[in-house]
Amino acid sequence: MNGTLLDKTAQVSKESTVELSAWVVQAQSGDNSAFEELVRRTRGLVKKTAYPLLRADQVDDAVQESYLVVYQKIHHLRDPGAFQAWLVRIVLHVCYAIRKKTPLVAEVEDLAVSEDTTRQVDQRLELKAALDQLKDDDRNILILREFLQLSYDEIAYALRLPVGTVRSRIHNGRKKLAVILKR
Amino acid sequence: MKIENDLDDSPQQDLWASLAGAMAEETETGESEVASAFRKRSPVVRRVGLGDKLVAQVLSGFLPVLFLAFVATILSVGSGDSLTVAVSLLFSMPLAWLLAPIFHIQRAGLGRFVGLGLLAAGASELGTLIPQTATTYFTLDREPTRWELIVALQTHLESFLTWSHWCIYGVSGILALYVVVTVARRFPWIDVAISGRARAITAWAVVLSPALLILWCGSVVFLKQRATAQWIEKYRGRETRFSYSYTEQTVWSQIYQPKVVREDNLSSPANVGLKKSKSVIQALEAKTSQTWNSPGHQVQRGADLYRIELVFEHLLENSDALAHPLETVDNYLEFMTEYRPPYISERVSKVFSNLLLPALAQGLSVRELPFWKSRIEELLSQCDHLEEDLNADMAETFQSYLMDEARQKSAIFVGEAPRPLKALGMELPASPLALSYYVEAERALRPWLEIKSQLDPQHPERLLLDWPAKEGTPFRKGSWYTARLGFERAVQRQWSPTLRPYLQTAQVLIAIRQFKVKTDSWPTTLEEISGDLTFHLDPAMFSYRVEGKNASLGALIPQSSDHHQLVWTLR
Repeated sequence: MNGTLLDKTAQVSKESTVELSAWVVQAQSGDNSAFEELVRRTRGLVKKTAYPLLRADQVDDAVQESYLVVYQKIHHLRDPGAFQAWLVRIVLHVCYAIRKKTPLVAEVEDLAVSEDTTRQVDQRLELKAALDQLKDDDRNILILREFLQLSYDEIAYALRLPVGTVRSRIHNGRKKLAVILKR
Repeated sequence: MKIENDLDDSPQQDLWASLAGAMAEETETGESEVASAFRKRSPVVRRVGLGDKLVAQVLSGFLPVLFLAFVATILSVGSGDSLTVAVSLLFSMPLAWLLAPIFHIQRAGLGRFVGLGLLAAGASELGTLIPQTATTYFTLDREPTRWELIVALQTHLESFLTWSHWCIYGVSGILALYVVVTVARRFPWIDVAISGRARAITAWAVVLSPALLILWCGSVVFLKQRATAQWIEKYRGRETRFSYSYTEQTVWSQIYQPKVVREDNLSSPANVGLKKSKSVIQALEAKTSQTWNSPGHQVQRGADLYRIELVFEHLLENSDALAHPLETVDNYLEFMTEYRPPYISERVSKVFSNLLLPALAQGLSVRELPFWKSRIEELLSQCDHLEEDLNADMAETFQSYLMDEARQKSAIFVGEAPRPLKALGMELPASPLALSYYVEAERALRPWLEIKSQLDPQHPERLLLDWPAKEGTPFRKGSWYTARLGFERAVQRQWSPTLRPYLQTAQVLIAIRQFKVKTDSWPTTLEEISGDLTFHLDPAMFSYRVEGKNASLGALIPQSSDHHQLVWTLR
């Protein structure tokens, strides 16, 4: 896998859990600078979670909204080590709330009329269109696994599923996505 | 949280990579703007409110199970008194806490909420037994009996295993799942911990208890029933055929002696043997006659019978001193045929051979003959009835006899015969009550049958005498007593074949003497008196001939070891 942001996100995923946890604990105690540091460290992950689900111009709103929720509800997080997965869960919630208000179709149409015909954009459109045809559960699990490269345990926590279910859903999701892409 | 990087190869890797690239191009904005936006924010009040706690309890599985447990409790004890309902509802709380791990949001699913929800409701219904039992204990101030508990258990199981309850639980499970899923979507930030392995295992054990109970009953009852049937079958062909041993009669005195000495209010057999003066014997004869013939005289089994037998023995052995020896004989015969004591003895032979038959042959006056004719007919008739009764007993199958015993004994322990489990409109023979029944029945029958098998040898009385000394528990003594009654009943089968030849001989003697009174001559053959007899004359048993003015009758009397030819001369 390549791409600057992707590498950055992978770096976030591999970030020392202990270090991030320390910032979470401080943020939970009301330290705004600690929260600021958390945002700085996880913003890529949040953005990456929102991007496949929203139009490009909605992503920043989703990021902003997500961190607002996190800021207000961070004291509910019991295990600071699970912050990233917990964050992803909230981002998904925010993104689907935005999708409910403004369907993604508008962006596809916008892009379809643009003159950007590079292969990369074609592929992106193709994938986003295919993801849109999947059910929410399949879409979420593929994004978390394929795009965010979260571990099974993290996905299980984020989506509130047993690990076994995560494995089987990833397998099924891939097959469904392949079928859609082949059409 | 455990981080895995075992990313497997995705078939759409290129597509995902291009998506990442596009994202980098389209959304590259200043990161510091978002971060700095929180720098100047005033701190929010971070407090977990009641609503958050409720949501957490929904997602932890506690409230969904509590809901199911409430429904189950209401269905199970809803018609009970308010105290029981209240206690049962309170009991639902710890039960819901116990079962919550199974219904944690991370495990929520339709199959789990409907399938396991059904089992959880079943566990709740069974669980209400605990508060109900406690309520019974405190309100009635007594512990429920084991049988009451088993009845209650089966009733609760049957209450749970109805289609109406299942439908309600199914709908309740779906409703609970809908609430849980909705709450989980609306409150993604609520974080609930997953319980530890021990608690999860406990929850599984509790939720599976109704199914395990039904399976356990089904398999164990089936195996128990089959084992009991096989075990009884082993004894079927071994029904004890007692061959009464005359030589062992003294053992009965050892069995009954302690009680006789302790409770004797008629006369002490030990003392009777020492007082052989004619006056003492006649006094005892009069007392025995009065006591024996007095209205309402009650004779208990065992010691009473043996005591009376000893008194008669003493009297009959000293018949020369008796004022009315034939009355004593009559009393003795009545005593024997009415109570049929198990220790039939050589005295029967002596009474007939030495006293009654010689008297009938020549010692009785013409006026006494009709009395003895009717008396002997009556005794023969009693023998016939006795034989019919005992044959009817023998016609019963051994198994049914045993099962009667089992029912009788089980009734002592468990109160009533087992009833099948009513489940979803079917009747399953495997039920807690059936299991209890077979356990109790076998427990009650086994010692009895073990004794029964020991009675097969030659001297059962000896076994009866020795056995209680070895096993002194009250239950074993009770079994011994039952075995003894069974033994005594079996011994009664000896009565008819023992008495009948003597009674038939007596009837023939009376008929010959009455023939002589009527015709002033002896019958030439026994065929001439056959019309006066109540039995079919067996030529092999009797020999008869007229010798001048006398006639002689020979009778072949079967005894324990051989057949004795007894001959009486009629003058």
